[in-house]
Amino acid sequence: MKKSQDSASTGNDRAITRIVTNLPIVQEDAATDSVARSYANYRERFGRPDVPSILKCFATHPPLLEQMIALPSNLLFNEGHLPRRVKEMIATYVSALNDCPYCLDSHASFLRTQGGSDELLTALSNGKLEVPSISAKERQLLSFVRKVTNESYKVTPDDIRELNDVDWTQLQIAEATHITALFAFFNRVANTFGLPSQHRLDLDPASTNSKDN
Amino acid sequence: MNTLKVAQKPMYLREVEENPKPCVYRDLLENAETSGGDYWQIWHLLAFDPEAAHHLAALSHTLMHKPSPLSSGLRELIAAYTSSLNNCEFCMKAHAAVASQLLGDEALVWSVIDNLETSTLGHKREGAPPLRAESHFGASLNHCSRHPGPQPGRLGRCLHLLRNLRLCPFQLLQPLDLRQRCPSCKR
Repeated sequence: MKKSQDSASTGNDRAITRIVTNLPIVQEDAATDSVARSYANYRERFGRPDVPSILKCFATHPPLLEQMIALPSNLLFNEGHLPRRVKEMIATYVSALNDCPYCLDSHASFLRTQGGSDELLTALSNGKLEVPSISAKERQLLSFVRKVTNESYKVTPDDIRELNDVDWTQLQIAEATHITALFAFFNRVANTFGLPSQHRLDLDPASTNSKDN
Repeated sequence: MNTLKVAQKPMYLREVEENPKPCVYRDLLENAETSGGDYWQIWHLLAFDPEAAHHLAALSHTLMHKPSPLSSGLRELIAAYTSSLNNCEFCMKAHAAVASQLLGDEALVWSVIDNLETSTLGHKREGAPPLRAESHFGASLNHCSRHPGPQPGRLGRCLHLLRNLRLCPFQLLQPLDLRQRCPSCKR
């Protein structure tokens, strides 16, 4: 398939990179009407100089673009039942499990802004979670996240009980599940449209997911 | 009184199921409880967090129901097929039921879910009308529970829910045309 040209609007390398995507996305300088308004609102709301490429993947369907800005704003980019740091740990880990270099790089970067160490970022990206920067409680939640990602149909009440036993509340488990599912969506869209890593960080998702739970 | 109600298993997250917030989904659940009627169990999830539910329902509505280069029937078929690949029986049957209504061909839907390669989908693509059908799925709900029309096979409960509730799990932003009446009893 012929790939379309995209000026990669990553927030920090706009001027230097042009990426090639599998499917056409709506560039900022080509946006009109409601898409242009949504892009402007996004830049203003998040204080970013440009719009991330993942959102441009939804701009071919303007009503969808609005919702794909609103949903993560309410679910991910805030303190909820789970702290923002844990949310970004989940986003990073799921993106590694799904082999999505674009989302892995983006959310590992966000995790870094939440205090994530090199050790933590590396552990999440290569799937080796037995490190001091991940607590036993967090590790158990991430194991659950892996099961939801790979084999959600195998989740049982015992999985919930085990998380309750280490003091994850049902509301936190519900939120972790929502974020995991949200990234199943983002990861598949980013990979199918062909968004490459922005290389904010030097991380490699390869071989993270053994599908073993 | 809906006499076809089937007892549903409790959800894994009971705290979610037992704490609906004020919203249309809680109203629907309460109505079902009061009347002894049936309901989509996913409404518990939506009633638990109405703000998130609003965005999820809007997203689903935009993708599945608004004008698109893909017909409504094909979108529902994709949803059913993907849910099958993900081993999610609830979503698979719910969307298979809607797809069957829209496409007017439950056998086609099952042939895709059972084996895409050997399905009759390719034949349908060659100019046959079903996959191009753009009608609102409510318009195809031509039968009430008293006169359910052709007896459903593997989708029995989901087709019953669609016809009885006249609502698919998320379809609250665009209510079905309730003026439509059963062609048999005109109710």
